[in-house]
Amino acid sequence: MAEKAKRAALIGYDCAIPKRLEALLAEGGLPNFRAFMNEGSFIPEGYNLPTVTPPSWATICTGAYPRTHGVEDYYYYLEGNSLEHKKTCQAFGSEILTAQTIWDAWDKAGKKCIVVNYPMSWPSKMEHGIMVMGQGLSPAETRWPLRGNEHKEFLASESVISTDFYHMGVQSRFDDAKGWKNLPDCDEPLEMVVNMKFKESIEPIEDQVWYGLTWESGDDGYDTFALCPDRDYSRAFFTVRLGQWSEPVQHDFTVKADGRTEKGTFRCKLMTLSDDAEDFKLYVSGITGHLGFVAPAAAAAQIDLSRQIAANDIGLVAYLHGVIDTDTVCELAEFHSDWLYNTVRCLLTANEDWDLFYMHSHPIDWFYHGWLHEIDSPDEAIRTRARKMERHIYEIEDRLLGRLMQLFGDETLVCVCSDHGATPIGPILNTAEALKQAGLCAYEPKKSENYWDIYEETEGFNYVLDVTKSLAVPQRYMFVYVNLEGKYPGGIVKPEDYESVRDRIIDALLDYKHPETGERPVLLAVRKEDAKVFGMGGAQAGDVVYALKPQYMAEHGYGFPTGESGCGSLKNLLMFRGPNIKKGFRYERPRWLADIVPTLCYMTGGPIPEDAEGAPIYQIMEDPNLVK
Amino acid sequence: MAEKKAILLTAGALNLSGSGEALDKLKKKAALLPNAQTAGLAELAAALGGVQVDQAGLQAACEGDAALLLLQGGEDALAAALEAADRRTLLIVATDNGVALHGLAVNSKAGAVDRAVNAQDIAVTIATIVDLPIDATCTGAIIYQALKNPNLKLDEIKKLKEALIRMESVIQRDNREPWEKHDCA
Repeated sequence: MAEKAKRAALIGYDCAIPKRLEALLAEGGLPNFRAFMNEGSFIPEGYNLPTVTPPSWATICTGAYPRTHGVEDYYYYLEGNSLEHKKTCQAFGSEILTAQTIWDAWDKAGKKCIVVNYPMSWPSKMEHGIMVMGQGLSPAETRWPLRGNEHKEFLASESVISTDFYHMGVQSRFDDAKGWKNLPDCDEPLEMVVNMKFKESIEPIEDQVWYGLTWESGDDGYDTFALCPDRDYSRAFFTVRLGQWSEPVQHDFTVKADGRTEKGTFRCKLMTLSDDAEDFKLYVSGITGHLGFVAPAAAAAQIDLSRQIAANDIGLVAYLHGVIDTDTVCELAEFHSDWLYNTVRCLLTANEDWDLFYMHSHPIDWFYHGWLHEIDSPDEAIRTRARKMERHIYEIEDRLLGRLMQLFGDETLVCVCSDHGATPIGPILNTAEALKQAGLCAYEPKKSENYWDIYEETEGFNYVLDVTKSLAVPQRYMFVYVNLEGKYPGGIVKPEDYESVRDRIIDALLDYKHPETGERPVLLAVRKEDAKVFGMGGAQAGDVVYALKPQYMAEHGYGFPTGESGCGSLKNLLMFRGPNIKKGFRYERPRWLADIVPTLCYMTGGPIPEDAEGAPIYQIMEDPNLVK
Repeated sequence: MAEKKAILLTAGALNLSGSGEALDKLKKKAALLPNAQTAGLAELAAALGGVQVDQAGLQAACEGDAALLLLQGGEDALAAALEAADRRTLLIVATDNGVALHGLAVNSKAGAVDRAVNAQDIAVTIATIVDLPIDATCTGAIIYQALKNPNLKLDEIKKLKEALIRMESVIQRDNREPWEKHDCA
């Protein structure tokens, strides 16, 4: 009888693209991905729809399709709200799942499951397992039920202290240092009073006043900086020079709600310090808490969090807002990965009897959102820099894979997968404009004389979609709703007109030609019921479900998994290694992410979750006949 | 409190070539203008909105709203001015044998600047550094040779524009439609 694996582990790398991984492997390096493929089975045609984070991770942990597990987009429509997209919220966490997860099924059977930073997992319902908060994209963060890009963290998000204005930070300046104790031996030190505000906290924390100190170590101007909790240099958090990271700092923070003290860890990097100290910029990482995001709470004691920072989003937002550079993003990706590995190592070491492990890591997705469009740039310098950065990020994930495989051992069935791929941004389809041209939607520029009411770069700021005048309302990535009277606030379509309006929506989408290309950007537009064929069309789907050709979107979210454009591809990564898995096998047939859970359960004998709809991937097994 | 300040010390009898504790401290980081004609400087400074203060009230005046303070005196007044000044203060010491510029925007390593300058030049330099309005009758030329950065205004504008772009970027990112770029962060 074929060997069943004793336990199973899943490592998810958000947005890892099989085509890009193979291209990088062909150039060399990435020894752990290479070993995994050589010792396991690789499925290059991984599918899921929609090609979006929350629905895909929900499928990966339930074995169910989006129409079943209840998550069909990055955003979630809350019943009773207006149909406007801005009223939707981000779709993360376990509260919205309508299908059973694999860890809940195994936990019910008395098995021990460890789940770390998995986007659809928190809050935990397990009795025997341990979970590290996954209710967003980074550990110890939540995006539910927050709108737009909003997120909150334990304890607070990244910041910057600068002489210039940055939206995410504190602006201050240097003056002569006065009233200090234990100053270093120097002439004319300068101080900066920093009124630190801590933002985007799950539990708001009190502001603190910190003090910066700078001095000249030689004769070439100000070159050394220290950040201190008060005017006593002997108590400095750290001392750094230009371009240097501080060591991790552990400090106390006060929670506003009840005045209790929470420990937080952060690091800083000195980005700018001019020789006259007129220009200064210090990046302050997010404050990573030590409590509040582990269930059961007592399990937090198993993890040493004093030396790691979570580095939420690896600084992508800080980069987009001009605070840090790409080198710093790569450094933050290392810190993020170190936090994850440290957490996993502590938990798996303290719980050697674990049966199931699930985790997700997000840096590749953040990288592609920031730089995928540069990988095929006609400018060689830009292209080279982007490709070098891509390799760096994959190397970080490769090292993580190697370290995790050491922890898992050879008796573990391991699945490495991604949730979707990505394609370089192309001409964007303005769905509201397409519907407006067909007379279905009221989408007009804002009428304002005020300069500050008009912003050149984004439609969202300058246009108003009036649902009370719209027969059809585009919402989230792939949906258009018929604005039914009596069902939605502001609804104006009579029930008897539902089907005719729906037909008009489909025609409008399919007929629309993009003004930049003259071509039709919509690949498919169907009724909600018809979307069930490809796994969508559930309660969270709009009345019309549509998909775009891959060259007409921003990275991912709107297209079929078969979409290919430029260097990108929307397929997801899917590979297995472990007991009874064929070695060095390349399985070319398309498989869905819904097949992962059934495969793990079948090959370990673990209980199958109640709502799983996929099938075991028999062809990657040495012996698929595990049921005699 | 004004963001930037200037203190014009009229110290006619003070000898910039001499020595003393305050003088030495001044000259260590000053740009000296030995060929400066200061006739009419006090009137021009008053027209710029300068406020007369005495030595006793100087510290308090520095914490007030006036951007240009006018002081008379000798080395004691100089010491008081140096004490009251911070990194945002331009100190102009006008004597019978030249003018010294010290502090905000001044090139502390300029030493002696040979250029012949007059009161109009000094006044427009003060106005430019501490952001005072310049009258249409002004005929002075900014004393660039004494400045750390002759393009200080250009650089200030550039920084403000960059800050504006950053603010707009934040607004743009927070107001996207669902079909616009999304970055999962």
